[in-house]
Order: sequence, then C-alpha cells, then structure tokens
Amino acid sequence: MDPISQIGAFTLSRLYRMGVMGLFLFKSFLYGFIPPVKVGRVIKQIHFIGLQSTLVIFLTGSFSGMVLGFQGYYSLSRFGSEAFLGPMVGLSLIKELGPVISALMVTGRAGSAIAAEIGIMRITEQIDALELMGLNSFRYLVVPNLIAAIISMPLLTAIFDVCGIAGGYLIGGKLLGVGAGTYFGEMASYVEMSDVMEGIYKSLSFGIIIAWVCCYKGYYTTIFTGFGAEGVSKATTQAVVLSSVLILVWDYFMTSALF
Amino acid sequence: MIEIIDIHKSFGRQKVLSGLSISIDKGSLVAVLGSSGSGKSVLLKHVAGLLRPDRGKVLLDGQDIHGLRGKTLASLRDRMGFLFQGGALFDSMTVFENVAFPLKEKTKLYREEIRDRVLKTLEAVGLSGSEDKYPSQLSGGMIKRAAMARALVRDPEIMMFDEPTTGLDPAIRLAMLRLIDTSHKRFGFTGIIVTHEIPSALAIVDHVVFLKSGSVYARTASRDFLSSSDPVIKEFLGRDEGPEICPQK
Ligand SMILES: Nc1ncnc2c1ncn2[C@@H]1O[C@H](COP(=O)(O)OP(=O)(O)O)[C@@H](O)[C@H]1O
Ligand SMILES: [Mg+2]
Repeated sequence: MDPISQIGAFTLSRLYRMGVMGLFLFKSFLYGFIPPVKVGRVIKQIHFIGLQSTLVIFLTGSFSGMVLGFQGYYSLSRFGSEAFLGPMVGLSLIKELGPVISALMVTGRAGSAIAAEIGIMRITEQIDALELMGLNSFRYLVVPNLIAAIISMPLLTAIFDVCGIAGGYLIGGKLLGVGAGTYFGEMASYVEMSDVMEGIYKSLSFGIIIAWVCCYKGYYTTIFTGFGAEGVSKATTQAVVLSSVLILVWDYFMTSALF
Repeated sequence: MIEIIDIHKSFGRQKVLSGLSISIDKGSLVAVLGSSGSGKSVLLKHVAGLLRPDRGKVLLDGQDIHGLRGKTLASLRDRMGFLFQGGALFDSMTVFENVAFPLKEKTKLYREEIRDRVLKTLEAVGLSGSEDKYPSQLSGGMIKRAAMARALVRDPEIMMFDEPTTGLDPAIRLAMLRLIDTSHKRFGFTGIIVTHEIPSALAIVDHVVFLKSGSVYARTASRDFLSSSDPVIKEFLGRDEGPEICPQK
C-alpha cells in the first residue's frame, strides 16, 4: 500500500472506533434510562467503585492538602498574605485538585479492574452467553458501572476535599501558625457556592468518563485490542491511559467554559 | 427448523465459510464434523446470531435471525440453548447460581421451583455436591457439565452443542452423549452437535454433515457415514488406505 492510502486507512479506522465509542456512550445512557435497572448490580458496583476507594481517597486527599498547606504558605508569605491560605487551599481543592485527583485515583483503582473484568468476560465468551440467554449485556455490565460511577464520584470528591482542607489546616493552620479563625474564616468568605458546584459538575462528568472508557475498552477487547490475556492487558492499559488523558482534557474544557 | 442458506464469512483475508447451506428438520439432531479450524464454531455462532454473515442468511422457524433486534431477538433466543466450547460459565457465580441464572432472569418461577430444577439438572449431569463451587475450582470436564446443565435447564427448542465431550474422560463422554440423547428424546429439540466423537456420537444423531473448506462436503444418514467410500471422509476417519505412518498398537 502506498503511504497516502495507509494514512487514509488509518484515519478511517480511527474515525470508525470513535464512532463506536460514541455509540457506546449513547447506548449506555439509553439502557440506563429504560427500566429495568439491575439494582443489585448497581449497589455492588457502588460498593466497589465508591466504598472501596474511600481509603485511597482519604490518604491522597489528606496528603494533597498537607502539601498545599506547605506550598501555599511559602508562596503566600512572600507577599505577606498568609492569611489567605484558607481560600487558596479551599479553592484549589474544591475547583480543581479534588475532582481531578479523585478521578485519576478511581481510574487506577476501579477503572482498570472494570476494564479487565469485562475484557475477561469477553474473551471467555461470558458476554456472548449472556446475550444468548436473551439478556442485554449493557444492562448487566455497563449500566451498573455508569450509575455507580455517577453516584460515587461526587461523594468521593467531597471526601477528598474535606480531607484536603483538614490536611491544609493541620500544616498551615496548626504547624505554621495561620490559626483556625483566619484559615476557616477567610475560606468561608471567599469560597462561593458556584465554586462548589463547579467541582461537583466536574466530578460527575469524570465519573461518566471513567465508566464509559473502561467499560468500552473491556467490551471490545477481542475486536480492537486482540485475543487472549494479552488482549485484556492491552485493553486495561489503554483504558487507564485514555481515561486519564480524557479527564485532564475535559477538565481544561470545563474550566475554560465555567471560567 | 433450522435453515442455513448460502452463508459466507471472512475474517480479514481468511475465508472461513464459503457458501455453506444446511437445512435441519424440526426435532432432528445433526452432527457437524470436520477437522479443527474448519469453521464449525464459527458456523454455530452464525446460527445463534452472535456473528453476522458477509452474505447469506439463517432462518430459525422461518425467522431470519440476523434481521431481528431487541425484544424479538431476545424472545427467539429464549428458546435457544448453546453449549460453548469453553463453557463460558460466569466466573463470579457458583455452579448453582450459573445454572439458576437463566431461570431467575427469564422466568417467573418461585425460588423453590428454581432450586428443584437446578438441583435436578445438576444431578442429571453428575454434578451433585458441587453446587457451591466456583468455575475456577472445577476441572475442565466439570465446567463442560455445568455449562451443559445451564444450557438445558430451560428446556430449549433449539440446541447447539460445541464439542460437548472434548477433553472429558471416556466414561463421562458417554454419559454426556447419553444425556444429550435422553433430553433430545424427551424435549424434542432441533439441534446441531459439533463433535469429534466418532463413532459413539453417530448413534444419537439423525444426520451427519461433513465440512471442508468452508462448505458442506457431504451429508449422509448417520449410519452411512462410517461406511462411506469417499476418500476425503476416509482420510478424516483415519482409515486412509495409503502407507501407515503411525501404526496402531
Ligand atoms: N473472531 C474471529 N476472528 C478472526 N478469526 C476467527 C475468529 N473466530 C474464528 N476465527 C478463525 O476461523 C477459523 C475457524 O475457527 P473455528 O470455527 O473456531 O474452528 P473449529 O472448526 O475448530 O471450531 C479458524 O482459523 C479461526 O482462527
Ligand atoms: Mg471449535
């Protein structure tokens, strides 16, 4: 094949996959809105994506906040404005770091597992077996993850924010001596409801991205990433990478739109 | 009744099925034979509607399975059972849950009725006592038998078996064939069985279809297959008249 038609074929196959991926999201929402929803599986996935991520979120949130306490204090003290440490920590966590880091952690912890589980079900023909029983594989495998991620992500982000703000207080407020009154008082007067909402919108959309990308990569294991264990491992890696990249790109667009 | 009409299928450049046609009367059981890689599993997946042919169609009781979607497809598949070559058991569920799953999801039976039926079916495949094991704790033969129980538990009208006996020990192989035979006689399903089990499988089927290069090479009544004088079939049966390369002990 000459180079031009190679480029053409490559572009077409990429476009085709993007189309399949878009359709996948559309179908997930469609079956999410048409009952019956498999409530038992939704609860199981909330347990897996949400509850089992709380320790990771607690740890990453606390330490991010503590780092912010240090870095924020040193930056602000150069301008003699340490008093604004509270709003600085609060705003960066609530608007940006909370949603983004939680989403990246959940991608690594739960998203990879979702992609691997669905991928293994694909290569061992369990998805075919489901379809052959006259059951809809989206309803059983994809929709519960989507709903669970939409419910879990904002809650995990909220936990991350709270831990982070407490961590920032521990370092900035206690250790470096900003003081509780200043830290929380300034935070309360500078952080607005719209900032909180921005964080919630972001975490909701990140939840959708995680469930979408990871389910999609697992679901199409044999077709797009190859057969056997290697296909699953590729699908899992691609799911984590694509989901993380999409989260950061989408974060940029949301930030610029909500600015 | 299953009518497979002139189906063609390629994967990339590899042509797997080329103009294959088989018609199977209601209630009869047909064995599909052919060497490994001749497209037998691909054929079954076309009949079940899991793969879409490049050309041709599959009619089940007159309905084109590849033209159906959503509810109508689901209701056709409700009447169908499929035994996968690898079992395809749900590995996050126990054997009991696997066999109970189609009943729980697709029927309105009470919990006790489901339990009775599942236990009875498991007993028929010789898996009593393994209800609470997970697929990863089973041997290959037990997986096949559990998968068989799951396929048969809803009394399907159309049944496809993909190598039901491969990898099992001799006594269980015969038991599996007997199980297929008794359930076929009892429920009268229309079925296709892909097998290498010659000659014992020939006793339970009505016809034999021999595949070669992606289409039907020969179709015979089951009792005539072994005595076929066709050189290709003779070679397949290992009764080649040429020089013996590995003499049998
Ligand atoms: N999903 C697939 N993608 C690509 N090739 C396939 C696929 N499924 C089967 N094949 C190929 O089709 C041929 C027939 O396979 P199969 O029907 O499984 O053989 P068998 O008769 O042993 O069951 C094989 O060469 C196999 O590699
Ligand atoms: Mg096969």
